[in-house]
Amino acid sequence: MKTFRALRAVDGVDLTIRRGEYVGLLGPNGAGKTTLVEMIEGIQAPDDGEIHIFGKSWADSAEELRKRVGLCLQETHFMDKIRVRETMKLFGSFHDSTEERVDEMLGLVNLTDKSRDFVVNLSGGQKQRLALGIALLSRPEILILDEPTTGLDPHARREIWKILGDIRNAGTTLILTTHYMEEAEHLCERIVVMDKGRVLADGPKRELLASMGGETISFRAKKKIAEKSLRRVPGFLSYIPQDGGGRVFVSRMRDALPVFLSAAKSAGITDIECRRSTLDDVFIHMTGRTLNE
Amino acid sequence: MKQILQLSLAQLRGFLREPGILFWAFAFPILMAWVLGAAFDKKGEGPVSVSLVQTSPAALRPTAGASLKKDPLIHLREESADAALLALRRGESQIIVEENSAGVKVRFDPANQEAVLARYRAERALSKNQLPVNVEQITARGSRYVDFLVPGLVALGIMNSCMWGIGWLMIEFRMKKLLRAMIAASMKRIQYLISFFVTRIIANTVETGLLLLFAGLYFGIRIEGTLLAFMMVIVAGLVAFTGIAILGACRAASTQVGNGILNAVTLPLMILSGVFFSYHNFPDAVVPIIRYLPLTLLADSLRAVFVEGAGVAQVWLSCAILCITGAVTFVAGLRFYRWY
Repeated sequence: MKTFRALRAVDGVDLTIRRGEYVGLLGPNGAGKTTLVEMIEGIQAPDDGEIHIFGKSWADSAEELRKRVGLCLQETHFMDKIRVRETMKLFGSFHDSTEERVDEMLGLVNLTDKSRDFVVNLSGGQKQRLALGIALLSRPEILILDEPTTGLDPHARREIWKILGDIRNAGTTLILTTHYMEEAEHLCERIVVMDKGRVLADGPKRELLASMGGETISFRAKKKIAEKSLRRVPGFLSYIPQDGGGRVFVSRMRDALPVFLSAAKSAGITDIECRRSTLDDVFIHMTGRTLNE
Repeated sequence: MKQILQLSLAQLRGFLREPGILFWAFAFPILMAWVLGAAFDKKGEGPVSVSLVQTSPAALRPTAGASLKKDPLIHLREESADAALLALRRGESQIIVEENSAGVKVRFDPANQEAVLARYRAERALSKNQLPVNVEQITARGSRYVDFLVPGLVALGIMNSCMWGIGWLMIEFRMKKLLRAMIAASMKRIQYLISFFVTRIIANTVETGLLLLFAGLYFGIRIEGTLLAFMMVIVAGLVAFTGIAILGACRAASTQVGNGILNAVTLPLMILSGVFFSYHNFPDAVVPIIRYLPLTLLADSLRAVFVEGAGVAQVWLSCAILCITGAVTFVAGLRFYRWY
């Protein structure tokens, strides 16, 4: 069991993460995700509050916790002219990993073919896979990934996701920060939405989506639409105006859409998208901003 | 034009908003100019040191001593032949003037620019009294400029190898967040630090070995003292500069600041510690301080072992001071080390 509570950049966060859970900390840049995971990693100490991992704190049991927690940073620059396998062996030496374990991890992160390449010659995705393999070398019970796919192309991102899916059966607990909605949706059964250091929502994806009704009309229009005129839309939940358009959250699209279209007629709608609400819609519903702002 | 202006402004702002860079860019060069200026501004006209060795009975002495003393630009040291040779080897004097009943002999190393200058000075002073002067070039092993230079270069190599090989790499590891990743992977901190020392011992054995091989084959330079004393001095130098490098690199997390700190340590030592020229050029008041700078201790001890045939008994004190310097700076560096 792990409990976090801290203040300032992370303000009054109270979380309990159970063994084996895959938890995504989702939020825009500056939401406090990295600060929170740095406190979980033991790199920063909270100004106030406590963090317990397996019932232990970093102050008392740093050495033990280091062995049980694996870490993969947003960007780790390894030594340029050291080969992939040499890098893996170097990190393996910190916890007495065997040669077999090193090879096993190279296989897991799909870098066996690259094992003799210099790190400097790897692509961004390959470097990140190497970092992931290194984080997994010691068979950590908790794996913390801080924006592991930021800056990677979609293909490289999916490769990382696949590896993380493969290790799910090992019972590892995963704590992942990301500002990619799809990443949190794809990997994590539990999502913690953060903004400005606070937790806005916490729960399984379907619960988060259900909590706000489920469907979104996203539109662009020539003129602004007043909220008053949208209140008569059946199942209307809320309306977030945006530059040149907005999003309307409704409980049932089938009932809402015809009334919405007639209400918005005078605004001159140029583009409209009706969909099941996504986490990005949840976030904008809560904060008025999108995840990528 | 607008773009150039904005781009230049952005660069200048970035520059001016980093206090570390400001210091190294503006204050440090001024400081260096001041130190160097103080040491070398009157170099051309500054006094040269001349060792005067008199071998004939006092009554028969010609007036070489008196002639040389008249020149205000000659700092005269009257001493025995052995002491004069030692002073020459240590760079404390540039030439030897030997005087006996037959005349005056000026001995100097033509490869040493300072000695050439001193020779002309001395000859000019002596010619005023129409003393017959013989000139003898010193080419004996141990007394040439290269004999002075090579131990200094070995010392300089140790310093640079530690400061850049340890200090720079540590800053780079921190900057790349590699250190943080290694700490997260349960790396033992003490083993991390020791690994740098071990690497330097290996790298420096090769570096020093190659330099000595070349110096031995090309210049015929040999270690006159005991091998044990030589190894002791090398290890003490590595200990001292490993500690200094760790202290220098304990906080810096950017290359600009790191570069500044490392240069701030290495450049003054390189200039002050008599690697290329004797530090006796500096004002007398600072020479006793310079004598105890780590690079000076290292270079002087190496010269004693190389040229003067020193053994453990002659160098142990310097080695102890170097080791203490290393230990103190290591502990201080560890105390302030930024691991994340």
